[in-house]
Amino acid sequence: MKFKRYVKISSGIVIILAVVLIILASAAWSQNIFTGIIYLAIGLIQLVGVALVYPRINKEEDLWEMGNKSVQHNWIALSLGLTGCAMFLAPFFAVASTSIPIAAFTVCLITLLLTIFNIYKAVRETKARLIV
Amino acid sequence: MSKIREAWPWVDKFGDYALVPVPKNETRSLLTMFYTYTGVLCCIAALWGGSVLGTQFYLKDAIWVAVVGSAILAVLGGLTAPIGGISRCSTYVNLRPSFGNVGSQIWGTIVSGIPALGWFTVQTWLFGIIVSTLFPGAWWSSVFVASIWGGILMLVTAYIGFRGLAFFSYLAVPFFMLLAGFGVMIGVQQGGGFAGLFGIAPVNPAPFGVGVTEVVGMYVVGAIITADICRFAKKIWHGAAAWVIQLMILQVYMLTGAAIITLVTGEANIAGALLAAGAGAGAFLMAILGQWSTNDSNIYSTSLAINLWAPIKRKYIVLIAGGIGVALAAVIARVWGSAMEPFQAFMVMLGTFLPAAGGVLIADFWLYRWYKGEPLRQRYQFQPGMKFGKVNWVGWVSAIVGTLVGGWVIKVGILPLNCLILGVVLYIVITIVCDKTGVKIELGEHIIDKTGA
Repeated sequence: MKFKRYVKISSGIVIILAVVLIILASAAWSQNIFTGIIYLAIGLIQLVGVALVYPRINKEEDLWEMGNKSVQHNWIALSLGLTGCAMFLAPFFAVASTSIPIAAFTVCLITLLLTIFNIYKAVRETKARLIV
Repeated sequence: MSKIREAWPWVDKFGDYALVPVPKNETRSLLTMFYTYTGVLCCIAALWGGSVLGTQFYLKDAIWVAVVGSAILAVLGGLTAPIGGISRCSTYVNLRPSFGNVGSQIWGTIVSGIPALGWFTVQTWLFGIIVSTLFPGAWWSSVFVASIWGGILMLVTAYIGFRGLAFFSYLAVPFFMLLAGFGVMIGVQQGGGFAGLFGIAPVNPAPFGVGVTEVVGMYVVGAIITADICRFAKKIWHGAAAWVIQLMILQVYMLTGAAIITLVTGEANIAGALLAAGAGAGAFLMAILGQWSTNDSNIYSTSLAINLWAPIKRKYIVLIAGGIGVALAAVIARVWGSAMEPFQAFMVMLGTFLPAAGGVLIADFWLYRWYKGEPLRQRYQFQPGMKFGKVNWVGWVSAIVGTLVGGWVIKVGILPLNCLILGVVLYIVITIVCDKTGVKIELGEHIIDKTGA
């Protein structure tokens, strides 16, 4: 199915972004432990939240249900992306290397935009419920 | 699907199943219940509530206050949630047996509509404080002026009915959770580690019971009206489980995180404390948006509660009630500025006035129906043509006397718990006595039609 394939690929991209965030967490850890913790927390929750979509849609044959599940998992990633955008540039999380917070912010921004598109696509193509 | 529809003899005239049971094909999962409750809990007001605790208690005591207050709410909501799960009706409808039809209109407004308007007022004023903290010095950002324009903006979105904002309540959940975690980080960094944190003295010490009343007051409306959410639950226990988990884990965590920020900075204004600690402008914009969306829902709830009995267009109710809310917020801002006294008083007021009414609902469903030998799953199974009293005087007497005695006469114990227990005991004792002596507890008669009215 075309939509299932799209969900798998786009979720894969979000997972890669989450892994990048975890790598950034390890880079920031030694400079500001709290920055490391917050990057790690968001990255890990995002990773798990999105990875769980695979077993759930693998068995699914109904397009509408598949859309609902995609919307659910994208909401999780979207809200975390939004949180990252709001918090990562805060002075409390500043580190010596300014490129790290900017990179983390960019990762979250891309996640945010991609998940918004994913939700839009799921609602449009499968008539999925926006609130599940 | 067709079988379910045939067995559902209702017409949903008011929308959102406000007066009729939720059909089975519209029920949702346990996870959805949890998300929805968490979306309600995770707002800036919860952090303000924690901040108030931070001004009144040592950290250890603040945690205990949060745990005990949340436990009382867990019991209250844990007992009202299954009522919604079984009847699949809103709180307003569930109040009919214990307060009568007219009683449910009035008490529905008392436990849901008026407190929601109160929250609209308080949140509008808190919005003014946040704007004033973020942009100090400008005329348009004084607490007074910002409360007025902020309130008007919130009112406009509620009037237009821009329900899209409601999504934001859910989107902001991880943000507020991490903001509470941010409080713990600040505490550890600036308070000299966890050991240092536990030694910081509060600036305005208060008795344990006052703190518990504040915690209960902060969320008691939610505890009484849990049915409004868990009537959508797939299984009866889903609503109660989601309610208890979010309270005992998330609420305690959020209150503690906010209390730590205040303890460390000594700043009762959590907006100022966060800014001083380096939370950044992005965090503030999220907080403002989160507050806006929550307040939009508050005024919507008020209009819905009133609209169920007042034959006026909902939009006009939004304008009138919202206008009153904005005016009150402006008065609070003018008189108290950023001081937290009105917020504390509001929480104590809710914690005093509402638990007894919740107790009456619990007593009627769990005890009186049990005493009458009605099987659990057959309780509150409303059908078109069903008869109710216009007024159940026992419910009224129990709620009013329970509130007055529990709130002002009894001086020992925990105030909201006293009111709750009194509401339960008075209702069950009087109804059983009336039952034994043949005294009618219902006055007048009302027959519900297919629309649930």
